[in-house]
Amino acid sequence: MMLNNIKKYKSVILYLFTTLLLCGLILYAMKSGGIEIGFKELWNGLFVEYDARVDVIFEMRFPRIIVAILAGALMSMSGVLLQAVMRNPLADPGIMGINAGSAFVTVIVLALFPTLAGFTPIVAFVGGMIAFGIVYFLAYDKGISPMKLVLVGVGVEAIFSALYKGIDAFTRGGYSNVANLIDANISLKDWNDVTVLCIYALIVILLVILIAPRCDYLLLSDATTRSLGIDIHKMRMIVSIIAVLMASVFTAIVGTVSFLGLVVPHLARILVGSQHKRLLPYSALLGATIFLFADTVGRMIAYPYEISSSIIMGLIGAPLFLYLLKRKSDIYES
Amino acid sequence: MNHNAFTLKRVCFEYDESTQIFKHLDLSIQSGKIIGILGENGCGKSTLFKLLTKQEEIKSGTIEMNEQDITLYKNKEYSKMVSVVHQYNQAPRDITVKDLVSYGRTPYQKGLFPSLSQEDYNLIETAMEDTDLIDLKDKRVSELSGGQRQRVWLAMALAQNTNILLLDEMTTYLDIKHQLDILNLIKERHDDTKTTIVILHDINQAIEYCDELILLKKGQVVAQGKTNEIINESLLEEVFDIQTKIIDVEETKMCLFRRTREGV
Repeated sequence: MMLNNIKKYKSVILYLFTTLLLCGLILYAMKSGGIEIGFKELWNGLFVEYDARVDVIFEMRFPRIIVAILAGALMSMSGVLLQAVMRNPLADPGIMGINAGSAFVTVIVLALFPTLAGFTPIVAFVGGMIAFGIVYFLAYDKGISPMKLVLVGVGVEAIFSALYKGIDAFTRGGYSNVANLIDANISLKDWNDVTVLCIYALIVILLVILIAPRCDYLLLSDATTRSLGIDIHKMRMIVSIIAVLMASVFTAIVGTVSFLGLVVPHLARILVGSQHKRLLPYSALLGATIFLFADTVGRMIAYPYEISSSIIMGLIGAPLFLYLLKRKSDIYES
Repeated sequence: MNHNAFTLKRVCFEYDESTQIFKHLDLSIQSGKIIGILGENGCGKSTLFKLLTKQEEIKSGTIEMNEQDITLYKNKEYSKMVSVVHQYNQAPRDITVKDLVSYGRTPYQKGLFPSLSQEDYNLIETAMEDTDLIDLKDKRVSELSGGQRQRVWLAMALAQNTNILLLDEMTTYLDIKHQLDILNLIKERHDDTKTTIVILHDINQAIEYCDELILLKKGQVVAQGKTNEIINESLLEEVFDIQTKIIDVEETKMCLFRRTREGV
């Protein structure tokens, strides 16, 4: 009983701490940048009277912050679900080439039909599913070993990123959207992007709430889940689709970022454990915090030059990835 | 008169075309008993379990459970009637005994946001009591010994509250004390409303704990019946290709193994 209380207490503290961290980051991100501004001035400009400087911040900085938060949350939950579905600690939408597949299709559509920008998450989803299908098909051999997943993922990622970078080279100049996607540059995000992202994020989060209680079964062996009366193939399919959808929405709005979907779920699992009803919401919160951190650091560290958030994520994520290659699995077998 | 727990009629099964496991297998397994399945490696014991638990589908023939074709049961319905403990298991490293045992109630849960009822909690508690896990219920399964872990998986299957329980070599990798602990536990909680089907490697344990035996060789039933009536030296030689001597010790048969065959 004591132990349970401490455990409950611990997760409350964790949520509180992470939320505070996120709020602090939001405040810092709002006031810092090309226009330095105090909180009082910001408050007055937003709620009391018109202020041209605050208006610029409202149009430029706010959408960027909101996009970073929502996108970070989506990508992290996508990582959680993929790791569960593949029963594989190294699953990540970036490393597996899902992001690259999404970006490839998105880039084609943006280059050919720039007016369809609002539908890019849907076309990105098609690209993501194609990449996921290829990786699954090539890596599957009575289950998917972590190493094989990574190797096949590297191959698929290389193919798709070569393709979209090639298209970018052909179309360079006319389509700045495309270049921004490739660098995962979110400096030009506006309220339209926020609206699109919010709509898709809402749908996806509702789906996640529906599947979260059942995701724990994915960590048992197939034979066990079947003897509990669960249709494991159907469930794996549904969870995969939701995971790919989240990664695709991310890619369509933000671009290709690796390691975010890998690092956050692992940190979250260490902190709150592997039960999905706790792991998914905490990963979302932590992912939002870390991605906003990466974007803000990239924006401020060499000001006025920007370092893309995907580069910062690589700096944080890749060493952890190397460490995870050595670490034992979170699933034991006996 | 007991009905049949399982009836197999002209069952054919193969993993691929070169290796046929069962060809027109006919087999009836009566309910209410502890039934042991014996046979050498590759005789089809494990495959038989995969068919009975609907992990694999037969190519032709029929399998009935409680006199109804098993393909007609929905997965959920089936898992309220048949539970199984596998030889190999996987679970998240941080899952507790109590949480894992409570998965046994999965087939009974309904709705979009499933939760455990009071009845569920009672059955989970009983399953943990029966398997002597109450003191360990807040421990992580991954921190337990091999024997304790197997008891957790058994408790999960018991919490499913089924009439038929299948145990696939669940004692194979345990030391002798834990093997006997588990077998005693299974024997103690068995009553004639239940059917327990076990795959065992140890012939003497099978003789001691099983009411009936089914001996398989190359996908065919070589012998089936009450343990004491069918076990003899020539049968064991036929099934396992070994020389044995059977002696009586305190009203049970015991099988002694010869190290080499004559003339070898």
